[in-house]
Amino acid sequence: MVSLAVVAAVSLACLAAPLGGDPQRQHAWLGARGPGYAHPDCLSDNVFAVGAPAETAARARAATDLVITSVAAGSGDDYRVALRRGVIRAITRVRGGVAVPELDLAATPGRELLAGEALGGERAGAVLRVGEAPPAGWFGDQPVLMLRVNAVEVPVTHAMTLVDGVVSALTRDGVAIARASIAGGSVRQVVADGAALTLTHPLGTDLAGRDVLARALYGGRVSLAIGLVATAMSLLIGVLYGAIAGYCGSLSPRGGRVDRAMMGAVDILYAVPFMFLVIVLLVNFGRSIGTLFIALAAVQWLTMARIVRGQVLSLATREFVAAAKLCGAGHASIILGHLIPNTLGIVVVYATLTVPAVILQEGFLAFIGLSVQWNGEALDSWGALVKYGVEAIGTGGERAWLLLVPSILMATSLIALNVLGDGVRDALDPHLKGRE
Amino acid sequence: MTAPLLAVRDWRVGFRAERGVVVAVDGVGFDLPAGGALGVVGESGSGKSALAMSLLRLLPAGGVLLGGSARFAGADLAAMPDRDLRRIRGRRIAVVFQDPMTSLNPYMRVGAQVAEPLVAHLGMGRRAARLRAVALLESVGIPEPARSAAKFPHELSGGQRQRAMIAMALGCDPELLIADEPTTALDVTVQAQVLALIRRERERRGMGLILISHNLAVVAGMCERVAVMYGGRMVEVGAAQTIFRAARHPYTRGLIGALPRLDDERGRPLASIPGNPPAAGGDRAGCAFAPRCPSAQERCRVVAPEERAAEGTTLRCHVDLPPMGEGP
Repeated sequence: MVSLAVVAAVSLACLAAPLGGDPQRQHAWLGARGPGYAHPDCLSDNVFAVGAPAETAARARAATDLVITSVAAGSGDDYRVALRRGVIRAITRVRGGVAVPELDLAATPGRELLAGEALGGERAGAVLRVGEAPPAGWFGDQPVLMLRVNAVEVPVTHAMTLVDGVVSALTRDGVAIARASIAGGSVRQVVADGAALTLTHPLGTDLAGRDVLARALYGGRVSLAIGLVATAMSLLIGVLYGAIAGYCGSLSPRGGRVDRAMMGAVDILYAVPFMFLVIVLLVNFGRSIGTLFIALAAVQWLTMARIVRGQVLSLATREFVAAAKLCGAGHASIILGHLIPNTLGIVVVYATLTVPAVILQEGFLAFIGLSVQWNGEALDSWGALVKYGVEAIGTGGERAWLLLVPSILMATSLIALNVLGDGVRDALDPHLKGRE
Repeated sequence: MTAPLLAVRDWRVGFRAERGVVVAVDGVGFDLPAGGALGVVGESGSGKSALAMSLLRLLPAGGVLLGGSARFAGADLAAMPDRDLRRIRGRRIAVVFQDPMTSLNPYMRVGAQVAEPLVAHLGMGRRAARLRAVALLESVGIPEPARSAAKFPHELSGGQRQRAMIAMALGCDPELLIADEPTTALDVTVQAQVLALIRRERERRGMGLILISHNLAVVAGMCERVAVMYGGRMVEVGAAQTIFRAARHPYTRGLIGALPRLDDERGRPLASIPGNPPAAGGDRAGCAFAPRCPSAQERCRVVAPEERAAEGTTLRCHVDLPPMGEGP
């Protein structure tokens, strides 16, 4: 029961994760923040136009009176600091490509620092000058540092009245306008009907500022989809193949040869080291999710076929098969109507155990870097998230949540799915329910 | 005399074993008139079930028809193509199996199973077949037929399952019903009810019956003619009354003697035939029963007895026993 609850909760959460949201979107702030970190960015890039539905989160859209405080676009400048032989060679303002001799970070309020690695706030009071060495540790082993320096952070307030989610009036700093576009990263506060909305990141963000919870749920969607679809494909192939082989085997003796030939083919395929097969398929035919489905199903159906064949061989000696022949049933209707339904108890149990097995295999593939893609974009499954977590965890494990969140979610789901298999068998087997 | 409904001649059935073929039915022949009833009695392994199943070519894997003919209403069941046979199986010749637990598909509702032959053989629509199935279930005495039709086989009792099996067999109004130990798996009281049901339906429909049983008393009460099988052969065939009162074959007498009787003295050990039935496929020289036969003579062990007529029965035995009740 607990397992059922866990599986249901995880699947529901994964499936119900907001479709419109984009867990891949890189926010304007950088660096990883720990679990529970609150950031007011409850809106991604939003467009508001009078008379049109407000493009924003449902919570904000439900309000009648919405006030969004953001930082005016263009109020920050990006600077490129280049290093040569331990000395600053040039400081260039990216916009306009203007070279400046020095950059006084102490004199720039509201600065944000942009770099390959997030910089701590206490380093912000430095002055960078061309020809001088930068403060120790700033560059690491990189020759270039990108800095965003906001000269002034000018707050801009958009206030609007919403009627059923449609913008009816819109002002910018008190002046009525027809249309406003607010970049998600610039939002500092959202007040809906007088109450401030904050979106927290309950499980923190990753190095690119992406919400870990959202990524884990989307990853679960990918993993579960792969598990279910590959299992369904292996079911389809394995059950039919096994049932046909077993049925032929039960009709002696010419059918016995068909059975032996079919199961011989299965034995040969069994001998192929399947991970290599999957890897070769993925490398040769592209890492698309379709290839992965085919590769995983091509391996999974073998066991299913064996199980079903064995079941059918023993079922075919039962008298109801002879009774079905008396009923005028042909071979196809005996296999589909009488034999396969009777194998379903075992098939369902094995299928529920196949789902976690496939998820685990896909996780392994993603972990070694063969994560799947969809239309050229990476589909980060739990395995890919675990891989990311391992890479991003930091030398001292200071960002452990990046590894723990997907790992724990994956492990609990797999255990629950495995336990669920047994429960399903107990629930489905009519013999267990009504034996006299 | 009109042509018989079923005329079996020199019927031979075997099972493939590791070394060659084991003969289970060895040259059986009989006639069954339309509406007649033949009881087939024998121990386990005597070939009676193999005989019944092979008539409709429903032998389990490994079973092979070795020869003979079985003319059913003029057409030979052994030689006709599968497609023609499928039109006879279940429609003109129906079968009731021994174990109602395995002869009903556990994953199909009872009503749907009873309706299946109606759809397949009679071309009835699904809905009409369902209604007819309920009526059939009612006619075989299943309580609350509409509700029972919606149940799965495991929800019915053993007797009800067998009744449902009979309803399924009777659905297409067969001319011949083959009942292969229909009551072996049932309680004694339920046995009597099921047998009464088969007898009643047989009389009502005028259908032929081949009743396979290891119980001589059951067969004698149900059928006009009784065939006793031993070692794959019919060793004695005759009218039920004759077999019971004036059996000629030592094996038949042994069977009758082994029936427990209420007026037996208390404490008298139950009579039995010493020894075991022959292993199938063993050495076939002589009479198969000779090793256990109290009246066996030297030639019994050397020459297999041919079929011969003797005072109301046909038997395969070299020995002429005195009438029953006057000696061994």
